[in-house]
Amino acid sequence: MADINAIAKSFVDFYYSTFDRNRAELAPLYKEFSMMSFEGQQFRGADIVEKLQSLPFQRVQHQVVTVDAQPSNPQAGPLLVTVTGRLLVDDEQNPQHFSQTFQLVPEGTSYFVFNDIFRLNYGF
Amino acid sequence: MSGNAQFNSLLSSALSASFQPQPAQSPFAVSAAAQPPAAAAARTAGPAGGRGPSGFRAAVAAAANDRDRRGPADRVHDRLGPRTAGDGRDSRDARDARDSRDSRDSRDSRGRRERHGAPGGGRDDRRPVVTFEDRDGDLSMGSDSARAAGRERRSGTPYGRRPPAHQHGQPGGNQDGPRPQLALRTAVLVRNVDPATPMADLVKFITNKARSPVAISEARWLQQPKAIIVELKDADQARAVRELSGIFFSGVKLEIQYTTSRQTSPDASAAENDVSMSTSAAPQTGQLDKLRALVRSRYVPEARRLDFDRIQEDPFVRQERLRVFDHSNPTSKIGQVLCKLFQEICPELETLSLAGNRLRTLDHFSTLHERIPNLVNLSLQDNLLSSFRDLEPLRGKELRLLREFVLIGNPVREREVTKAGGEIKYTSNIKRMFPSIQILDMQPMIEEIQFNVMAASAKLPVSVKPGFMDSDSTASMAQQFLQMFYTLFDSNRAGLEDLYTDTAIFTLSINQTRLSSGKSGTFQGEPRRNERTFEAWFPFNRNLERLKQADKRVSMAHIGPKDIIATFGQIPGTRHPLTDPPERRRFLVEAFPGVAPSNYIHITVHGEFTEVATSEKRSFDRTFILVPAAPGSRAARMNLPCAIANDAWIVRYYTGNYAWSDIDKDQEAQPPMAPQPLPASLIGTVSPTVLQLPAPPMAGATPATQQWPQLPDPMTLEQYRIQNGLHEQQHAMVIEFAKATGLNYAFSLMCLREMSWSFEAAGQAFLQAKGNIPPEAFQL
Repeated sequence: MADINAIAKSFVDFYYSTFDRNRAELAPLYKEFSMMSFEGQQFRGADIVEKLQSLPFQRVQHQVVTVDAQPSNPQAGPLLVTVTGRLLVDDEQNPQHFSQTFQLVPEGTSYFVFNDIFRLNYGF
Repeated sequence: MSGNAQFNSLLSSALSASFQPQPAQSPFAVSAAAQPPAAAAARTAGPAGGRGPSGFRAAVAAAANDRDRRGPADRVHDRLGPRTAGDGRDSRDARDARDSRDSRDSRDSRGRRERHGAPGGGRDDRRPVVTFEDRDGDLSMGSDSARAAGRERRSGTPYGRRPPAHQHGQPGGNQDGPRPQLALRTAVLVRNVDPATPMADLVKFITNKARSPVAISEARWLQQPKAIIVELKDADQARAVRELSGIFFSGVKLEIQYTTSRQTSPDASAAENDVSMSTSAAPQTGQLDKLRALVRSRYVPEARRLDFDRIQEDPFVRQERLRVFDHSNPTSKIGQVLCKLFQEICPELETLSLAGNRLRTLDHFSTLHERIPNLVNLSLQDNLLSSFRDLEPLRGKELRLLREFVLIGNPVREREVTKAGGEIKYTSNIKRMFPSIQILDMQPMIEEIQFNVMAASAKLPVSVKPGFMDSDSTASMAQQFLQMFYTLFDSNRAGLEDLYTDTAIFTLSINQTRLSSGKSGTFQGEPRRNERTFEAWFPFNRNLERLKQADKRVSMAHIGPKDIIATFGQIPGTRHPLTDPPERRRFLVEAFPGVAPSNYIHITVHGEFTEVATSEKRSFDRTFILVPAAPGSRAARMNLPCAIANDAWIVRYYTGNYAWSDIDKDQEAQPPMAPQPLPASLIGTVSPTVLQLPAPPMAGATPATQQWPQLPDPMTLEQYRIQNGLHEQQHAMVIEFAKATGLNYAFSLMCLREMSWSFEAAGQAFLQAKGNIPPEAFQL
């Protein structure tokens, strides 16, 4: 198994670049029993990407500032990934801070997102 | 590598990790203390009487050269940070410094007649005498001219501020230009004089030692310590005294330089600044190199700090007769040149001290905002700025990241704050000019002013919802856990040891992105490495975005309770606003039970705390993974239901709780769903609200919730199954058991597991324990 830190980093890079390009392409990362808590609203399975696609902006740009990762279970492979950063949507002039936590679960040779907790922290 | 092996390697690597905690420090502790701590160190560490009280820079330069005499000063130098070995300019500076020392030392030790024998002296012979004389501006002096023909003058004249190596390295030659105010040079400033010395002794000493007869017309103490101004009859005599610089008096090396006479400049301190008169509007090449060397010698790269304070007192400046701030020449371009040098030499400069430079205007620094746009801390302490207008050239609004600003000791501040109500007015005036600052004159700005910026707050693209809790039992568990955790975390971190499992992992990362006040529509204000505000936190920063070395990535994770508690001991003290009423919404908590292969509770907390040492407010995000306390574990012995397996903490600039502070309004619009409110307590923002789950997608299916309120909808149930890694059959048993007993899924599962999946045994256990089962076991 590769270095978990490298996995976390490449996941994060992939996730946000995909998000910024076309968030519909994130669908394969989520399984039917994946959960997302987005600003406190809960979504699961296919609803997650549907929710992401329905977010009321056309363009978005994420800038990742911190990434941290921990194996979240010593016996198996789940991975806890915490991210903070900033994002800009559409013509919004002020970046907003966000905090996002992922629980990645290995499946075969890859990982999927089991939990995804997203919060804006406001920036002004 | 299997997950387990991976983990073990992580564990072993982490155990060998060690950290050097760094104390939190205001970047301007330096100027507040009126002198660089390093200078103080050099002072105490320097050889007795060897380098003089203000010989810090000299000590540093000497350390670079006295290779066979490495001593305490070297260590001071080392503390300043490594000089780049491969930097040719650096080594040339060092050579210059050495040569200048050598020429002085040789004079001191061998007498003036031998000066020409000093290393490098021979090079002077290649120079036309007239050039040399002209450079020193001594052409009018007949007696000097005569001496100039003599060999001793040519090699290492005592006040030949340019040691031979300089000439060698700077073919530009005549850089300083004429010094028209030479006629005024009938006074010298003598430094490092023991204040207890009777003036007469010094006068006698000088008279005896001067190479030609001198008549001291007046000698007086200056206000600054250890300095005396000596007035001579004429420039020739002044030169004779000036040449004594470096001589030992009462065991201390005197430093003597020209100053202007009292008659023309009664302000002795100001006069002292006019040491070397240069009328050139911009420094020429040779001077540029000296300025470059000066800036480099004052830069502390690892701290991104440039201590450009009291620059005229710098021995190098005095020795080179550099005129850094040309107060007499308003059209001087030197400030702009300096700004450019700052940019060139200190591209990552964040902390700049210009203290004690007798600046009357900041015109010199009108390009600072372009050159050093990321400046965070700026000290102008102890200058002569007398009005707000004097600050305008700085363009404070363009210094978007400026956080701290010091004006203490300037007439403008001292005058304004003594007026009635002056401090508030002063503060708001400064704030208007420097909108981004958070600390003014060592005091944090009061919040009200700080938050004026919020008027421009962004609109969120999504509506804000309260924290998500999958159920009340999770909520109350999270709440109890957090209450205990943070109480201990603030007061007695060692007491948290039992809360962590043996293989628990703790990591901390620092997000140094400032509140954006940058260019619109961009991420201006790039995330900053090494932000000084978080200095004390840096040894613990495990940000994979920044941390590239694999071994570091591993060693920065703290594994096991001992390592974690030891790390906690080094992390700055915190105060979480635990006692604030829930309405203040200091925290937002999201919690839910989680996934296979074992049960856990995932808690993510967003909130704020105050750093005890600095009183800085900070925001944080922290995620915990709690697992059931293993039987016999420390947590179990403490009667704790769960233990921390993961603790991932992100500390960042204070952003307040505005992202969720209006949750109340959202909640009012919703029908009350919480079966019972959670007790109001510190985790006031734990939302008691169970969010409405999506309607069961299977049309026609009877919602389980109607008949068995403790069970969720089938979709959620399926999720529980996956989370707990159950077969369909086990899953069916759990649901069956839940329906029979009224227990919820989690407790039903627990009961069945403990009874090895015997439905019957589980039923008996349930009946026996019924009275002791907590109420949340019967709730969704």
